[in-house]
Amino acid sequence: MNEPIMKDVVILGGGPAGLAAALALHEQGVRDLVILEREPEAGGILRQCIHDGFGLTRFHEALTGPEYAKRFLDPVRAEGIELHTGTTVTGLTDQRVVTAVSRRGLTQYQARAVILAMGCRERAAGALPMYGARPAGVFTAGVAQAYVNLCNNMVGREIVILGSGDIGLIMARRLTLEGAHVLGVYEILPHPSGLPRNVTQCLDDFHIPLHLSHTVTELHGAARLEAVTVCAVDDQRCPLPETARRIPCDTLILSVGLIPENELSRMAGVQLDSQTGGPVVDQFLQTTVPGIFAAGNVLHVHDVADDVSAEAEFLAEQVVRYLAGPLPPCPIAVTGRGCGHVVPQQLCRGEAAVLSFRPAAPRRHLVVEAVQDGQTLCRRTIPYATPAQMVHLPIPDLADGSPVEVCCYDDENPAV
Amino acid sequence: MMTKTLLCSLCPNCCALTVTMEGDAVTGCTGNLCTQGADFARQELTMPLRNVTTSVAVSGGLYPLCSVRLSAPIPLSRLTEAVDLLHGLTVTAPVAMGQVLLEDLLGLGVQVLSTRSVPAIHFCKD
Repeated sequence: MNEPIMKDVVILGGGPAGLAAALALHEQGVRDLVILEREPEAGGILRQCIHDGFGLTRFHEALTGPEYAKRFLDPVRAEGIELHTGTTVTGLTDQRVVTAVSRRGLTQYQARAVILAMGCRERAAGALPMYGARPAGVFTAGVAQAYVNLCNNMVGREIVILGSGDIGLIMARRLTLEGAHVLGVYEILPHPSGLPRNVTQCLDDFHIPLHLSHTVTELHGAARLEAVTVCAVDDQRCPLPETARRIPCDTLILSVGLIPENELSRMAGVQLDSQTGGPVVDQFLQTTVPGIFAAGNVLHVHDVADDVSAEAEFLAEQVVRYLAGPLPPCPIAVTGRGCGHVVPQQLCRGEAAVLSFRPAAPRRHLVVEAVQDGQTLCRRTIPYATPAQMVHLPIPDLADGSPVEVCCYDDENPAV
Repeated sequence: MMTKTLLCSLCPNCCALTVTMEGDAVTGCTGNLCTQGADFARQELTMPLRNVTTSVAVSGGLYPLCSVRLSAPIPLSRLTEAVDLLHGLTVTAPVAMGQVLLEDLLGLGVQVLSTRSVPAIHFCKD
């Protein structure tokens, strides 16, 4: 093999995070960079998201996924930023050596900085406790979306959806518009997992019932799915057998969560956070391996692409700083109470940061505050907060080195 | 007088609106943190508007489908009709992103716009 190609920055993934990071780096004068994309076209998951609602924050208009991607792809092409599609990264080391495979063969890059922008994948049937055989007709929502929107293949006629994540809700509408009969959406939690506007526009508009505190416990059928058993669950999410009902259907769509895709991160020895599934990062979005940074859904799963682009642009600024010299050490640990996880997990002294997290359950008038040594650093009240919408809390620069805790509480659920 | 509740979906505040109605007319709205909330409630309860995103068939293209949206939202009550019409539509490649595929959908004064580009392909005969 030839000598590695030297690069200032190698970006792994050409979705919303990778494209936004590349453009921002280019604008800030970093020209020696390359984007490596596994799919035949850049754009990531946006390619198959033909529904609108992208860009509301950033462009103040409702774009579809491909249109949103084009806003980044066009300037990437116009600026001549190096982008290789059909290129799979198969190796990443802690010394930032990137190995990529494409039709042109094997290529190695020695990067000064690596940006992880691989996005996430869907939790699949194997991860769920469902009895029965494994007949055809069980799809994750994103796979069904790709079949219908990209390949013109219909997945089924009589459809049950498990999980009320946004992709599941959007597929309920999409499959209905394509002539399928969506029998219902079953959600194990007592509240919907997707955004409220999707519940209205994807389910209510089409009279599709949403069954909260319910799950699918068994699959029936040999070659093709013939029915599923659904059960109500108790407050510990345990199925109640006496409520079991058999629902004839030919297709089950799963929208039961997304998992950051971090095989390459792990290969490089990047420490992962068991809560987010993504790398542990400091406030500069640098992972535990110096020079390896992460943004977008590979870091933590976002609700909207606009947030991913913004995070990647923030990351680009930090990478520019890193290329000029090491970033400040970040020894201050951040933890959360009343919220699942907090990103970043580590802070430095003397520089403001923004913390991102989700409340544990839907709440009206949620108070979020960051506390250090019993002192409240900042506080925000949010009129309505739900796990479906990530909360961002700017915190001032820290003088002290003790840990920071983010607390979420309201009148009914006070901070303990 | 009748009272209805709905969630405002204009912004993440997701206000829980309580709306009073006399027949089909909205007479009052509470629970909204901004003035847009009342307008939203009036629109949703009298004539909800939705954009339509779906796909139309492409002949002679690199891909079998071209995704589309409307230039402006249409009444929800006309949505099924609009989708049925779009399912019957076949366009010829090449298609450019943003291209107008249908000028006036159902006489509603909105255009059908392509949201992806589909290059034409040329088959070899041998």
